[in-house]
Amino acid sequence: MRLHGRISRAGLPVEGAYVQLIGPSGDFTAEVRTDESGRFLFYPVAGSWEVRVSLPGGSHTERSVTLVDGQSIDVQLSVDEDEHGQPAPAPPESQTG
Amino acid sequence: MGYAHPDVLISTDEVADRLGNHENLHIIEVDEDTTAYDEGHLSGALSLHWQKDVQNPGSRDVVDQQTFEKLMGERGIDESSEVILYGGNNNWFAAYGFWFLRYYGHENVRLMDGGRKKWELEQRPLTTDKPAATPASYTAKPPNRAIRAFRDEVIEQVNKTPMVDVRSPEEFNGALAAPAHLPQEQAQRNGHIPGAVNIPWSRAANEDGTFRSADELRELYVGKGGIEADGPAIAYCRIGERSSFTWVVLHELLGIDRAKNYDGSWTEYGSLVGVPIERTPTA
Repeated sequence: MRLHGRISRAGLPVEGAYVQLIGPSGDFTAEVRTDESGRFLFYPVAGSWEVRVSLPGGSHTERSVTLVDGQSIDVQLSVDEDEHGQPAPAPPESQTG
Repeated sequence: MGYAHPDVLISTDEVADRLGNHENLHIIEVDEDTTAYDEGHLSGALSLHWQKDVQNPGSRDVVDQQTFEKLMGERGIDESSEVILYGGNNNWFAAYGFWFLRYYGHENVRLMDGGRKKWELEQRPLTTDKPAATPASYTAKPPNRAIRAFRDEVIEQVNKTPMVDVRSPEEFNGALAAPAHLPQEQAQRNGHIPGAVNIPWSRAANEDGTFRSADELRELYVGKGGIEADGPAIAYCRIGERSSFTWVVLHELLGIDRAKNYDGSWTEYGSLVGVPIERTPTA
């Protein structure tokens, strides 16, 4: 079972973002650094998870996802910062069987 | 009340200020991702490979005293050198390096608080230039077994000595075999050592990867965790690196001198024949 995705800012992939996977208890489960394509990958079990992202320079964004047995999930998180550095809402994730 | 040994931590600001003056200062990167150093590291930093340098692949033990002396000497480190360690994954593997240096008696070693993650997110410079070290002579002390727990001691101390399982709740309760950024196929059973309390290492860290305050750490481990300040404690995880992070908290920041790191951890204990384990239902 996989939870994977991509981080972008203003339409461009972000390398070097730190993506944390937070478990149902609220505890950190794992963290990865995005590759040159802005991609990340986790191997969690079914359940409710939170994906929490820190970008170089100090921006943050996060998304709650629910993983169902036998499915993988693709999470696309896009950060469009305004003049105050606030991230704009991200599009919904898609699921694949 | 502050940290018991505050000098073991150094901030990214202070490291940045000192990068231009390397006299008898040695910065060493230790990463789970052993390619990270080659892709960019702090100016003047050398690397220590947690598998090739620190561990003996034949015995799955840390390298012997003579090999440790060679490792240090090749990096220009002598017994009095100041060594600053940093790495990714919230300093998991740098903390393992810290514990490894202490195991052979090196006193003047520090962790860059927040590690590589904080340095990168602060958009500080990295370089691919690899410095040439001037070889030095190093004479190590005999291994300090007071900071290391071995298999037989752990089995004998089940439900006697407080044990801290520092893995995530999902690994503790048996739902996952490894951290969720790693594939889950593992040889050992899933679960935890009977009687162990689950205090994930991450509860000791702030969002930016730095260590929480002494009061917060004391409340976490001594208050809620049931560890006595002057008593024994054994920290373990999967392969001994996250538990090194917690060992640094217990032994160095809280001054719990009888705290040990069980570096064999769950990959050893969970594979043993004839020893009990526990699982708790997934929430």
